[in-house]
Amino acid sequence: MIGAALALLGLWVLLAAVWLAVWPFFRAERAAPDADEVELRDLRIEKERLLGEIHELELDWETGKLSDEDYRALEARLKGRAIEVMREIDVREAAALERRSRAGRRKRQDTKAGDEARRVG
Amino acid sequence: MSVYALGPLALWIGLALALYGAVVGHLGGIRKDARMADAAVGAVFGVSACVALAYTLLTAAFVTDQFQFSYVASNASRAMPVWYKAAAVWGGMEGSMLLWALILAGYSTAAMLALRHRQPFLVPHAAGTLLAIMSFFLIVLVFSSQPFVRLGFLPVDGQGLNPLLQNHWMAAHPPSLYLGYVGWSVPFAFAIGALISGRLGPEWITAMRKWSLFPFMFLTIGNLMGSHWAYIELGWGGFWGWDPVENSAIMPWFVAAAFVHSIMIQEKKGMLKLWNVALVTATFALTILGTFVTRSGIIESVHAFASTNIGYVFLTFLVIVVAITAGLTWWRADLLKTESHLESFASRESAFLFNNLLLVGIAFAIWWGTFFPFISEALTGQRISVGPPFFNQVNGPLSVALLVTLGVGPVIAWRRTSARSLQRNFLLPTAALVAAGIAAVAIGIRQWYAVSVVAFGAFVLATVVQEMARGTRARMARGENPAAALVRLIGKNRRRYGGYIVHIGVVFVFMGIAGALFVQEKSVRLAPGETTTIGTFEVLYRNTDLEQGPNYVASVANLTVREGDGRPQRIRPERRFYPTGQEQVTTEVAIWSRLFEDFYAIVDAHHPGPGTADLTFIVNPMVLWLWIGGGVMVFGLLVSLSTPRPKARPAAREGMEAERTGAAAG
Repeated sequence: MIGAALALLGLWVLLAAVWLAVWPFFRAERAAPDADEVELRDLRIEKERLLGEIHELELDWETGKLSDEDYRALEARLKGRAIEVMREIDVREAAALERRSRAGRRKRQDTKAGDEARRVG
Repeated sequence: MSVYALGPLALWIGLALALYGAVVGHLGGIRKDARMADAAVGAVFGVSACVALAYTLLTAAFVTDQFQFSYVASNASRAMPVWYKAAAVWGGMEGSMLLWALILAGYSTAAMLALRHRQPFLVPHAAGTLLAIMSFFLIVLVFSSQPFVRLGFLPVDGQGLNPLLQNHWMAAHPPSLYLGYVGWSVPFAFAIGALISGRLGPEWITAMRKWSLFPFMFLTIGNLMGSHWAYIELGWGGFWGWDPVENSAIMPWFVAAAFVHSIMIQEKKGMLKLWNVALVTATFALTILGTFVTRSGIIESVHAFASTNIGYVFLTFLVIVVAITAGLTWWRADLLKTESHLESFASRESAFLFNNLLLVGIAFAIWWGTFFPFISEALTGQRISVGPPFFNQVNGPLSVALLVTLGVGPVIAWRRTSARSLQRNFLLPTAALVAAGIAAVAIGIRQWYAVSVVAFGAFVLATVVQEMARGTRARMARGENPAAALVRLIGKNRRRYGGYIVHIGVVFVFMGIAGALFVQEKSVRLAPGETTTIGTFEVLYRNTDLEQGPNYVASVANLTVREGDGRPQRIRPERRFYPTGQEQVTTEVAIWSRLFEDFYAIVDAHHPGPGTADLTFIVNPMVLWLWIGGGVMVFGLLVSLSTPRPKARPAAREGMEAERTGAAAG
């Protein structure tokens, strides 16, 4: 009895395994990953990485591994790059915001048009 | 229907899903088809469920003595303790393959859960690659090493597990080593994903940092456990014999160590992209090569499985892996070009480069020595083996050079270091180096390797202490007390200081290795009441007891050991006879482990008539430092692993806000 119950449970596990692999083809289409979004996220990671590097540079300077002159030159270079990345993030975020606003307006207009059509119909 | 009938069925379904997922994953990645990508991720989960079910059933068969299965009957017996029955699942070829598949399933599932949203372009290819690797192991399990083959009759009892493997260290060693081996599938799969998708920037390297440190930690643990098992179970007094299987386990460690250092250069400088792809592929390939060596029987080893044809299946897989990666690398050669160059020779990048060359050089020397018999036989028809002297002579100088880089790396900065700061930073460590070297010679150490380890070990320790002291002082200047400053210094720079802690552990391990140069050994026949001396120890043999274990009979020698006027210590080395199945005799050594030396006793034979015993005593200096060093390395790796990953702080709220505003405005 217990053996049969366990066998049935095992069969369910196998069926679930097959279902996990095929279910995406039975659901509605999902949009492919947005390259802009991914690049924006990578830029944000790059920003965090650069801030971490500036922190490490500071630690190297504090522990006497860098002369004041080298530290200032390298810090200026890293900060310059970080500012570039942050500007790029701002530009892309503004563009993303604009895209979303447009998409939102379009959605609202479509809904309105649909309601209109239903009323007329 | 017996529940065990689901075992082979699960493996078949798993294989079908793995093949399907491998194709769908790569297709989905190429076509940027979200459904296909999701199906591949779903297939990873599905295959994992199938493998977990098969593994659970095989474990249940072992624990409940299902001797109708050939594999269970060959590797377990009724008298074995339950813990060893569960561990016996991986005591033979079939179960070890299934354990490999289970661990791969675990890693693959974890990687998909953690990264499917963060790396949408890499994940479909990574899933496809992980499932292709899984397909290979499932093909082996379905067609060659089938764990659920029935005997056609029901034996009264099984043959039992090889007694040498009935040791808790041996029970834990394969899972640890496999966690180290198999874990490299994930960085390899993401490297393939990066190559196919052309996204060879820092993203895959950043995403794989922890996924490479984690298996590296388990490679460390697995190798240490294997050494510890050899030390306490094989009864020859040593912990490393340059055996081909031992070498196969340590080779990926060296290449992996090179990778965990060189990814930092790619992250910071955009350099070494091609080198990193090569290192991650080499590490993965070496894990497969290790499996090939253990299972092919091409090279004789005390650790090898019985000689089978399965080794050549692994060799074929290895060739395919290397060929595909080489082809993809050639295709993406333009994207693998370096983004910057070394700014100065006196920089941490160049120290890392040098350390990479040494680590890979050591791995290559071990590879050459291990495969030389095979290569010489193929070329000349004569099998010429190289023994420990070759490995010691080649790796001795290389490992000392490696110690030097461990000391140099931390005291120089990324990009460039001025001559003045080099002078300032090397003063104390160099003083420590010279003082330790002179002290070593003064106390009578003459072997160049031991003197070098003491001197350069002191150099490395001095650099780490100096780094921590200066960092702490810098924080104290901001008003923090010393303890808080040290804790916060490490807490805020876990990757860096975790690495330094690992370096301390490496120095301790080197001390343990160097201790092997001063081993003293003595074999004697003693009658009850007789004493003998070795080094500063005096040993009294009292008598031998016959004792019955759960599945063995043991002759246990009662010995009392005393050093000088110190307290006497009772130790009881054994010689065990396992009557079931393989009728094997094993030695269970007794070790009196102390901080600076181990007293190691072996029973070679017991003569019941006169009551005499043939005994071997070994004084092993510094062995404990090997295990302490290993523990420190693992602690350092855990500190490094606990680094929070850089977060992409999204402006999600603003986005949603805009959506709402846009909708309202419309």
